[in-house]
Amino acid sequence: MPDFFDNWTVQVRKGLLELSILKALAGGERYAYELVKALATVPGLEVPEGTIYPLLSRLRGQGFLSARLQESNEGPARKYYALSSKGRAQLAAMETYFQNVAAAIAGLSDAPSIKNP
Amino acid sequence: MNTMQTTATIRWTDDAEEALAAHLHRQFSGADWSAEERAEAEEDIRRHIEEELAASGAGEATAARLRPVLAKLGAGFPEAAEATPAFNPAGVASEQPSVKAAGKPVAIRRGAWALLLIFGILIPLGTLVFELISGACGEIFFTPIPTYWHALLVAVPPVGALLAKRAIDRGFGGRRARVAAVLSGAGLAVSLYYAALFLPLAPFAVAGIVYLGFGFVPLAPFLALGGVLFVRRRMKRAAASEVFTRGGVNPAHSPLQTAAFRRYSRIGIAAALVLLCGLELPRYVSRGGMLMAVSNYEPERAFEAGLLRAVGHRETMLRACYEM
Repeated sequence: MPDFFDNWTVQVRKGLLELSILKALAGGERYAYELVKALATVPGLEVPEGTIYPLLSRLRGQGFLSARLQESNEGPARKYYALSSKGRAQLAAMETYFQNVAAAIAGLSDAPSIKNP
Repeated sequence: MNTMQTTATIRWTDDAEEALAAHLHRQFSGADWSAEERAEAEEDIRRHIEEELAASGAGEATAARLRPVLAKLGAGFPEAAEATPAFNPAGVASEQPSVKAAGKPVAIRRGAWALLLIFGILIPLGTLVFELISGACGEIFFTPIPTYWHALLVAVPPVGALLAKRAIDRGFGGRRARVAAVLSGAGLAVSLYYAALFLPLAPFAVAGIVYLGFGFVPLAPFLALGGVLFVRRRMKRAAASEVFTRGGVNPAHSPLQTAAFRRYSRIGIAAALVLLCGLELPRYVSRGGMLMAVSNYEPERAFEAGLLRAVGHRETMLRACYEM
């Protein structure tokens, strides 16, 4: 059974990653390195850090995120990602969908059972 | 936004560049990322590494410093086990991340590649062609390539070494890595067999090269064996250097793991041994049978004569007529 559970969580985590990225940027722009570090350590999500960068690039390409570079005295130039208005709308839609699905799943056990006549 | 250049605060060594290139190749090979997405993500990953190194006070990116950072970055999201049946043979999924290859180079550098190309590939292949055309060795000593099947077998070690180099350069994943593993196993068996066959001539060949400038034909199996052993060591390192044992972004291009490498390699060894036995046994049986067929003991003579009639190798027996 652990194999089944592991595989299931891999799929769930994959599905939630984009939502998590958008959600993490909902409070304002974030520096990519810090954002990746934060997402990689979310309990239950625990993704390899390298997985997040291609998704950031894809989300930016789809217009959900914007990015800018800023020089830093402490190391390489820092890249900041922020939600675009399109991304904000997308996040709202995804959150609503996710909450509805979670609520519907939670309600499944309360649904009246179908009894044989 | 176009891809942006990172600020050059960290100096990258060649080893580190190679390690990063191999890592990125594993992460992105076969996945449906566009060139722009990939370029931007690669640049972000490089910036991430530089950030980590800068935080640790390192001014130079070396392969050794990169290793723990790349391990944390990971080569992609671990795939669900059901999604990777082709790369989850028994034993592979339970393998723990290996650090066996730590500190040892996986990629074949230019200098090593030049030596491998000359001594492990071109000389063995050239010798094969030379022997097929001239039959020089056959005229003087014995015929090492009596059939085209033998020629095919003799070509396996250098061709396998060439494929192995290409497979390692491309992240050691997918069908190319599996074929290279099979051919490296077959090449090992074939080159060992021919090296043993030519062992008595090797000292004369060395003397011939030193004093006369020729004699590569008897040394070709040893050079081929050296090439095979070299690429097999690099392939083992490549197979052992992965962090995620359940594959990368696309299971069809997942790096070949140690257990899978061994399995495909054994398939190659077994296939080569079967072919060698099929091709060579009749010749050895004929040689042995001819010796026993002239025995003073009548029943033994009769038995061997019958055996020679049944399975004797015609050409070997005809050649023996001129040797006696």
